Amino acid sequence: MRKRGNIVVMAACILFIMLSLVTNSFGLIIPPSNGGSTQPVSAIPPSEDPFLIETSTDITCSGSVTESVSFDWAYTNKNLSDNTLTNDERVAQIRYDEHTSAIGGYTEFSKDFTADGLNVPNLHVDKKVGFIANQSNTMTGGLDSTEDAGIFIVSEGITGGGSGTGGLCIWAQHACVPPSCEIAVAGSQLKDVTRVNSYTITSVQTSESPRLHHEITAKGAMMGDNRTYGAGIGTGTVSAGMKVDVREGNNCNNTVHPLGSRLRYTTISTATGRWNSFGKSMTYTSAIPALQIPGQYPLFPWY
Amino acid sequence: MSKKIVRNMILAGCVALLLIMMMPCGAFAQQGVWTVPQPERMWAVTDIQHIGSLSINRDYSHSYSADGVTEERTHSFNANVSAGNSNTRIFDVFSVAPTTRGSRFFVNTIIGYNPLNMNTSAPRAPRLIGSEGTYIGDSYNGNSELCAPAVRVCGVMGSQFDLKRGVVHSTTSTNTPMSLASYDFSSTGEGTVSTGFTVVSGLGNAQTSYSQRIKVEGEFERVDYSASFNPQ
Repeated sequence: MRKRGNIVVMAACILFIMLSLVTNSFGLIIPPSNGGSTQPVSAIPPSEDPFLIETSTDITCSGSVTESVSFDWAYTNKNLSDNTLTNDERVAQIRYDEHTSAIGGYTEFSKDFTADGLNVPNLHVDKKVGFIANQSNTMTGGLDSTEDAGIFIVSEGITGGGSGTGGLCIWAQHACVPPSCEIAVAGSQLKDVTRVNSYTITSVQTSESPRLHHEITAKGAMMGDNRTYGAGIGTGTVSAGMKVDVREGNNCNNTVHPLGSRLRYTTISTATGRWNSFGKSMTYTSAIPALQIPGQYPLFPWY
Repeated sequence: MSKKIVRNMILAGCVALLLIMMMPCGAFAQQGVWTVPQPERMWAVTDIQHIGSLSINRDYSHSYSADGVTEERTHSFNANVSAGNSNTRIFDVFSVAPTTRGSRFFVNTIIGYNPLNMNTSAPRAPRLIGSEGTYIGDSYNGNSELCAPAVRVCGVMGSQFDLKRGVVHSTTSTNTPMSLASYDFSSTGEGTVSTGFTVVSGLGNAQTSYSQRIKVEGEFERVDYSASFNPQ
């Protein structure tokens, strides 16, 4: 009986050692936090309410299709409900809205949406729309599709230095990173389109190096014998654009916030009529400075 | 003594065999509805193959509050076929099972509808009309020992259909405590279908909302929709 007990204990030990080896060899150990030292201050670590939303939509229809999505995620490193910006508080918001209406025609629609409150990108959307209006409905049939994405980041700045072991670095203590406001929105629109084959990609993140990306590729559509799309002439109006407005202070005074810099950027491209192809890709990456905390760990992935 | 044991074992085996033969075959061969309620546990299977008019309804709700968890589930389902010479097949599974903190909720519904020898474009042609929807509402107190923060989640998912012919299939699944809520909808046929998913969650330092609506009218080869919400 005692011998059997020893065997059980030995087996448990061997199992534990093997599990430890497997965990190490596959890199499954949770990496230690680097305190965001390599991240710009405007990166706001995930909230205590991380989530994962995944949706997938596939539609093939002769008739009418309407689809709409609204996503809104706001979080802070302090308290979102108090409606004030306290010392060292940083607030981020990601918004995404999309509406598609295809009336009187043949539609192929597919869309994959992922919103991840823990990992980057925090938002990723792939959308494909193919549409050909019915010949008899060219006066009334058409496709309207609008997609908007935006990031809004407000930081009261950093006056207390970094946290964790890296924050003990003498040059990181009592560091000053001025307050900042970042607003970046991007999107695209198809309006009164009767023939199109379009593909859009949207990618947004705020929990690590804040970034907003949107791109559209729209081509003409032609229905083949097997109901697949080939090259053709696009008709209607297609637009894509981006707006950026960034303001940054020049000191860390908690009561007076003189404006140190302001950046504005606007772009919009519109094609109306008959077009062979339309493509536009737009990216905004935050350059708000990071705390000067040594941040070389980990070595991989290599940047 | 040993003869008695052998005799009892043979008797028990015969009874078990009889039960196995009777229960599943009798149940699954039967067309209709049967329900087995248990304390905090319920399941129902509906299997109908029918020609003519048809009406089916279901309403369910529960509210559960204990151990720092408040959980609400509301579900409704209805389908109607107006009078006429049409073939309808419905297979539906509904179940609620208790878990350590809350419940596991599952609904799977498939409806096929085929009007026999009918001109579907006629204005008074029979149709399959119905809807299904589920509301989930969860609230959790924080648990510092488990490093689990307080969470509040509300979600609505469902569909509406008005078909001249075709198939609709939906699956709703929710788990508590806070693992995953998922919804799948697919349809093919002719008519109108709508589906969607809305979820709102939040606590002190974060608020999240997502809403999607889809409506398809006409003749559709494929409508496939899948949505899931997972508090990580």
